[in-house]
Amino acid sequence: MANVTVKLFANLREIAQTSSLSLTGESVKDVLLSLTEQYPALKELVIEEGGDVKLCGYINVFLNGNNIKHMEGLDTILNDDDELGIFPPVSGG
Amino acid sequence: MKVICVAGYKNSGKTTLVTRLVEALSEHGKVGTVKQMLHHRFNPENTDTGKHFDAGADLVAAITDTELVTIKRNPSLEDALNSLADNGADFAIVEGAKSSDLPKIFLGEPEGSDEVSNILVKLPVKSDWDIAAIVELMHDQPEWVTLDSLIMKVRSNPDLCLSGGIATFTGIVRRINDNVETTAIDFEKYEGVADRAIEKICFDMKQKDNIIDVLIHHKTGLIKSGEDIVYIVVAAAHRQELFQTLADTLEHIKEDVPIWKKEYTIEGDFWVHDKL
Repeated sequence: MANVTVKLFANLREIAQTSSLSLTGESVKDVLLSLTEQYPALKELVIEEGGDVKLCGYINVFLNGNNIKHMEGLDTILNDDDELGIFPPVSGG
Repeated sequence: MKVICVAGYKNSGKTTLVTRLVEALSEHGKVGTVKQMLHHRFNPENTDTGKHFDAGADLVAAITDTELVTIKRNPSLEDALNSLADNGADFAIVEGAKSSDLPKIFLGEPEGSDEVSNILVKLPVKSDWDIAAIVELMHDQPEWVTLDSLIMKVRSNPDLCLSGGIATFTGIVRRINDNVETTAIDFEKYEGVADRAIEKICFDMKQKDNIIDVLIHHKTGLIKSGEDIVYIVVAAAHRQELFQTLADTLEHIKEDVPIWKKEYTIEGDFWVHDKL
């Protein structure tokens, strides 16, 4: 079980009313389930409806600054002090 | 440009500290200073330049044997700092400006009734201060960037001798969208990750043939309509790759950098990504 920091941005941050929190989990999936349990209002934005736990297309998850889609996605294993960033589509520039 | 303010009451040693900092920082780069002189007139009415100004000149420039001075109206600390940045200052030291939000070194103790914000460190009045430590502190401050400061940086790139052109882009907050007026946009970024994404874009763009330099600066926080959001400066050997790279860089910023916009309009506010 890893202790990780989860950073929330934009409307996700507004809904949860926090920009940063600590959670534990073995994989990214665990932490997301834990997050949506703690903040049910985030659930429909982050996790797709259906049996399998799937990330909504709208959401990006970064692990230590890198997109999890370049790793094992939701099954990516976490280590202590990892940082997860969870956010909607970017709109800079 | 790194900015620091030296604040304190009269006779606390501000000017002495500023001069020592100027000497020390001059070894690391170009130094500018700002002296805030409230309730003073720099250019008195009985001087020639004072008479020019009082007759209605919008700007008065004065040249002596060793100095160039520009006297403008509607003074602001922000304009003064922008001017130093535009001229390529790497460091700016402001003497005074106790009531500003700038990062400060305070000499002595602020009086009870005085609300002084952003004090990085309090130092004793008229002392033998550790200048090297203050120089270190300045390096940790955020950068004050203007479009011209980026152009100055590009111009000082030794490889610029290979360049035939410099192109720039300034992103601004658009005021009217489909007949609705936007008052401001708030830009939120993923600290650290956004900066690295921007560095990667500069690095990747510079790998292309004949691209000599690429600089990007993206502001964050609340930006009012009409004001600047992002600057891109590109130097290249020839115009074809120059304009293409400028456009490509902007597209990469929009796709790869974790920054989000919340738009405030007279009809309400919304997250821009939700409207796309």
